[in-house]
Amino acid sequence: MSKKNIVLKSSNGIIFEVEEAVALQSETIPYMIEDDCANDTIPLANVTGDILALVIEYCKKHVVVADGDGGGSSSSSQEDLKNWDAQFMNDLDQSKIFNLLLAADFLNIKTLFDLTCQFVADTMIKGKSVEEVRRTLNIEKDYTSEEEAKARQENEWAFK
Amino acid sequence: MDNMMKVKLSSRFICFCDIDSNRARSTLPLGLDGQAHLSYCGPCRPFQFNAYGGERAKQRESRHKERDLALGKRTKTTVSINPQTSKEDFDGIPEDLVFEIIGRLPAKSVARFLLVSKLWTRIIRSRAFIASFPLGSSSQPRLLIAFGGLDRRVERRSRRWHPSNNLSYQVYGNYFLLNYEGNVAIPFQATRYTFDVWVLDQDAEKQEWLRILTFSIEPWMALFHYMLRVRGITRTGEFILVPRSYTCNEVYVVHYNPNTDSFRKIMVHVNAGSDSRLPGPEGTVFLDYVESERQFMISDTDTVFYHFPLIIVLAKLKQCNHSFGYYSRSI
Repeated sequence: MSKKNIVLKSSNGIIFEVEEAVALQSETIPYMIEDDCANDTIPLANVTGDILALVIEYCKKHVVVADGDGGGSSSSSQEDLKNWDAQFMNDLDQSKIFNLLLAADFLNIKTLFDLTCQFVADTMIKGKSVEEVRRTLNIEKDYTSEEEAKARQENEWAFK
Repeated sequence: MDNMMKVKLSSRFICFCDIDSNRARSTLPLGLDGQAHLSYCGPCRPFQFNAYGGERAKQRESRHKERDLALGKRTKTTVSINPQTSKEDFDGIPEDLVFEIIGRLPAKSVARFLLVSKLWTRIIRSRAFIASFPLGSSSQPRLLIAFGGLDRRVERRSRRWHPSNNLSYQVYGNYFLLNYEGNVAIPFQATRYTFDVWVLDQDAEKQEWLRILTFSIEPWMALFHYMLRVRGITRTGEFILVPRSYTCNEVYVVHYNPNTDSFRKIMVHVNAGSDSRLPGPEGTVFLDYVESERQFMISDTDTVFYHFPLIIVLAKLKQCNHSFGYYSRSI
């Protein structure tokens, strides 16, 4: 069985060659493959090299498991994959995580998108105070103190 | 790629643009020799998103559609970010991704983050958000359990209004429609512990009700104090049964799986803050209710609206961990 390789090129010109099955976890790439211009190299000008490397690492891991269990995925491999995902995300700094989220969105990789969204929600936002969330996401406060106090009172239960 | 062109817009913003005169598409067209268009994410900050306003989901959808459309037309509209600016240049995430992230938070966090900014408030209160919340964990039903007459401040009023009587009458007196495998169904309590499920046969010439399922919860009767009634069905096909009333500070629902004939009692832990007193007998469970700022009203059979002072226990079931919160409010 001949395995077709696909060449991806990051925005900063770094070339990655990956197996087709790895790349096709992205629902965006197939459209690009159809493009005759993309016969040899698919330019991903939204994704930098370091982020693309992470995306590929993720896709490789997930394609191996899909191949390995030949249909019925055992719970242990699911468990392993979950742990791997958690470790994968934990090793990243905030800027990488946000970039990865954007890349997963652009490349339309559903599982990676869910993973990154959930990770951001759980670790960067969930238990944080309103002020911390503003700081983390660089959001400007546009409520006046009076408005804020009123809203806080209305939703008092959420602050306990 | 010889059709890649590097365009330097300013010292802080570098774009890599895929030049293709026939195919290029962009949301923010910039003429480049009348030939190419180039799109970018905002002035110099990679993640700035300009489309604030409008309905969230639609925007996301249309953004994706646009992307798909562009790709379908074999266009490679490329947006780029200066590869050097990955660290400090983070300036916020696109609004549609904010939507996705907030949707994955517990209800309590969502309510707290109404305060983050006006944009967040708009997202959270949008129809699209309410309809789709929570994202991610789709199979778990959402429950709202409402208790009348607990708030000390409104206790007197609530007595005068006797909301509990109305509640009992109105909720308990009605049959409850279910969506059973895509059909309209009615659970009927045949005896104290047996339930029949009747389904409307819509394919038959003359529409009629068929009894398709009978189950008994008698083997588990020791687990609950009051009679149970069917209040809904989960997306995985489990019947959700709730007691007629709650007592002993114990709030729970029961899931019955007809396929395996198994029964699960799911406790809802209630964090009542300083007031740990729990609900009287008037607890009423609403399925798939979404916490929102909208008015919470209950209509009786004469379609008259009553405004009840209520204490609401919001329970979001998530596997075995239940998050919750409760707050009081006069409506």
